[in-house]
Amino acid sequence: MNHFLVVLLMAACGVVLPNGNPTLSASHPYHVSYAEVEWNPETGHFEVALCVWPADLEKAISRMSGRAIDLDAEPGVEAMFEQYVARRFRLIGDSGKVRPIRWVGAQVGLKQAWLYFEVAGDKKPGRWTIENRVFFELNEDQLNQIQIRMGPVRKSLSSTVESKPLSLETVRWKPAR
Amino acid sequence: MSLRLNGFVCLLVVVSIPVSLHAQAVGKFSQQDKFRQLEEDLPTPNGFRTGSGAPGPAYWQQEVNYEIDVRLDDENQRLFGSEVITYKNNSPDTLRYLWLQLDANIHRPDSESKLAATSPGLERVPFKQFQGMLARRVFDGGITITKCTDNSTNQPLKYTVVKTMMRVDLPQPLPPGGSFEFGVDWYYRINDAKVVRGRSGYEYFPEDGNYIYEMAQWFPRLCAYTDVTGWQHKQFLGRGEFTLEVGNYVVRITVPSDHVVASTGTLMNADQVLSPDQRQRLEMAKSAEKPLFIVTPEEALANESSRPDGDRTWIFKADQVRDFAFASSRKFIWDALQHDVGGAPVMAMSFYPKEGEPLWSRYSTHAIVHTLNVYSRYTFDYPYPVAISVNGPVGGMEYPMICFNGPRPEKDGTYSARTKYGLISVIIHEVGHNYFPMIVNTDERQWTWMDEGLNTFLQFLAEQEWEEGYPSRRGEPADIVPFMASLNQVPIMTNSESILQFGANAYAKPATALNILRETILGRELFDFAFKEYARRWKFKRPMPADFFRTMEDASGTDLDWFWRGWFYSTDHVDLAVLGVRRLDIQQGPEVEKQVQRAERQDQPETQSAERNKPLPKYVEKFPELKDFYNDYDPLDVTPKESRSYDKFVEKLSEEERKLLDADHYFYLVDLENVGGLVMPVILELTFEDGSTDLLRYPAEIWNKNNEAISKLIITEKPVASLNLDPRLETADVDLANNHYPPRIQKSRFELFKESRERPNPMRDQQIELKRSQQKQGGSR
Repeated sequence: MNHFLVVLLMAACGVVLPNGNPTLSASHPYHVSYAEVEWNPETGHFEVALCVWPADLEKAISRMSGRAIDLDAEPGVEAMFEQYVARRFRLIGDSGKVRPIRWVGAQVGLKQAWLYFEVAGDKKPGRWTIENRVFFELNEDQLNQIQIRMGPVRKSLSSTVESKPLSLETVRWKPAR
Repeated sequence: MSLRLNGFVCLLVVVSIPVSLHAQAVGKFSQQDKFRQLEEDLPTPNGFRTGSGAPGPAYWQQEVNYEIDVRLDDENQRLFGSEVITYKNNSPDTLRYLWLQLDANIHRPDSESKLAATSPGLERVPFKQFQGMLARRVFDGGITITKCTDNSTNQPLKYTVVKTMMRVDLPQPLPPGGSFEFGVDWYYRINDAKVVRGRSGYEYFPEDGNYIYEMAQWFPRLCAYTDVTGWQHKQFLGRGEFTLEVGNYVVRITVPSDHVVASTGTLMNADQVLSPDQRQRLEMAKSAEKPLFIVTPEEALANESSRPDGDRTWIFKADQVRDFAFASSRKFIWDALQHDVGGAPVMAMSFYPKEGEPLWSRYSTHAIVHTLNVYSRYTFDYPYPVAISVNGPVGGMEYPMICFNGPRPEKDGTYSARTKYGLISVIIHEVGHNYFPMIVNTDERQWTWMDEGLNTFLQFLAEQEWEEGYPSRRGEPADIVPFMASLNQVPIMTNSESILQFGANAYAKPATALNILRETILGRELFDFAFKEYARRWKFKRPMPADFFRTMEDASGTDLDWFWRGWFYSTDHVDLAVLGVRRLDIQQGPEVEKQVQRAERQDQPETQSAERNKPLPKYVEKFPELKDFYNDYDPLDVTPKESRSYDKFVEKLSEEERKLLDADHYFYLVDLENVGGLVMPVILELTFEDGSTDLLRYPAEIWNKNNEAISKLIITEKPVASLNLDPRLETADVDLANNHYPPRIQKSRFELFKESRERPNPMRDQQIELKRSQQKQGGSR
């Protein structure tokens, strides 16, 4: 079914929750992800370390693949992570072009999973739009926290289902003497 | 004795982050008062609730007793019920009407829960999910009331349904101390919990054509009437669970004859519903050391293909409970283990289908027993005769004596570590809810954190006692850091339905706050005493937030208003920073002092102009008579007056002070900044130049006059090489980069990961080579 049609139908019937009633899972998973994003002026790349709850990651890539995925047993699971992240975590330059990601690796533990990737940026400072829509399709109250690092400068951004894409300005910093 | 500033050793440049302020600064001081007492905000103590946080001498609560007949229609998935409610008015008020909750009405197509829901970010909707959305749109699981009568006259009572609430008008006003008995009959369609999800419902197994029913919030239940809210009849929107009155229940559950029923309460007619074998096994479970099967996996498998020969009624009795839930299926495997809690026997039992195996028989009942042990130690002895965990369609939900838990292994019986720990954690959590809010009867519809936060805190303690290094998701301060640093937040003290990021706000943050309060602020002994006192005071009673805050202070003997204000009433986060360190010297007499100053003067660079001007002839050299006292005077020469003055100063010192003067001490002024706004203790690790360390702990009150920036004098006997703030990550400090002196360049996690991949590892290389050569040899054979 054409997904555009589905969205229209959703609007018509007024039923919009992804997992049914919000009452649901009373164990209430912790719907917060955390990304450290650092712009490297030498390479022009954004270096991203994204921390997520492994159960959500498993659910998300299972849903993306249309079958149940076991994070621990699936061969080539990192390629799925990459595919998922490329869809959900986007950096967009001034020209409006989405920059490609380059996968670096992952560490999947019991408590958390760290996903590492780079996004091709520019060596010159500039304005960017950043979108982190990880798990928005799973959790209506998902909060994606992003910490931007540029040398000693840190800036916190938060992205929720309701929020618009975030703007980010890269700046060169000089180390304090 | 005076201290003299010897100069800045170094000053760090700290990037300032705007500090959010939630209360206006008062008067002519620009800071808000983080230590302002809470009594201005908390309700005034009264005869019902005292200023110590205990129930007052006039404390009261209503009593509601139920006698219910319920029939489960397994053919059409409907529930039919008939109840007699006895309402005892213990309040000082005369009541003209009663309010009941009709939770099933949340499944009406026009329910407020559905209409008030806002849209999440959906771009692509899988077809299966779309089917679910349509099903919820058309499914009508609303309750139909077929009868509501006064039992004394058998006359119909006037009632009005208001969405998920029902008002019953009393024929006569009910005075204080009076009782009223009335009957309600009803039915509703049960929801398929896999499609129309909720806290209750059925799961259908197409492979064998059977159902598991987990029935909760299934009967018209009296709303709580309290001294704080009057009637608690806020609509049921889904998140704010409920609060009810404590009472006694007799429930007769009629199900197909081949079903096994798990329920709140004690089974009263085992001889009518259980086989002789099952009764014997239950008897054996009383003295068993490990869980025993009451219904074995083989028997449950055989039951799956059986068909009922009619109905059977299971009778349960439960005293002093605030609610009643049950589960029923012919698929259930059943195991049990009796366990003593404080000298009283508790039968821990698990009910699950074969789809839960082998995970459930291995862990569920043990997890129940472990929960009862740990929670009872921190609160009170578990007071009920049974504690039950059921596997079915509901992911995790709690009721008195019984809870529903979702995790299952894969179809081939294997399971990941995440599934295993997910199951153990959810069972600990849901069984733990017996203590909060089933027994300490908090108002979940108003304050989610009061049960979820306290329960998640105890869950963390229980998990850590399950096995070493248990991967608890919540509890450790470092785990809450990303949420604390986030921008879209509301305080913990927010109504259940208005909370953003429900899990992080109402579960994880209060649990972490309590863990910090226990480990870092009060210490385990004081905290545990106060927490147990809170549980003891409010067992089977209804505390409010102020009762918790006041009891913790009352029993620990500690003013914690700053802690509640910061962690529970604000969205501030912890970010303390070492701004700089200054070394100070003790005045050692004018000779030494001026010698130091002279050395400093000599260290000053000669300016270019001074150097070039030096050889130029000077006018006064031509006319020496122009020179006077000041031409030879050096202000850094020690005058006799200064020497006398210092001698006098030393004479006035006590012997101890003189010793200190002679001792070799080092004085440091550590400048600290509170970047995040939340005041917390200052925990400083000093590393001395000889490599040894010392840990200094200063209470949060260090910030009570200036909560933005302070200086702390530290005296050591050895020169300090470096400082580290919060070295053991006790405070949930969101930015560790500004915690060091001298500043450390903190590598990003990305860099560290890349380095770990790129770092030479000759051992690994050798192993790879070895493997390759072995494979080659194997291939050539």
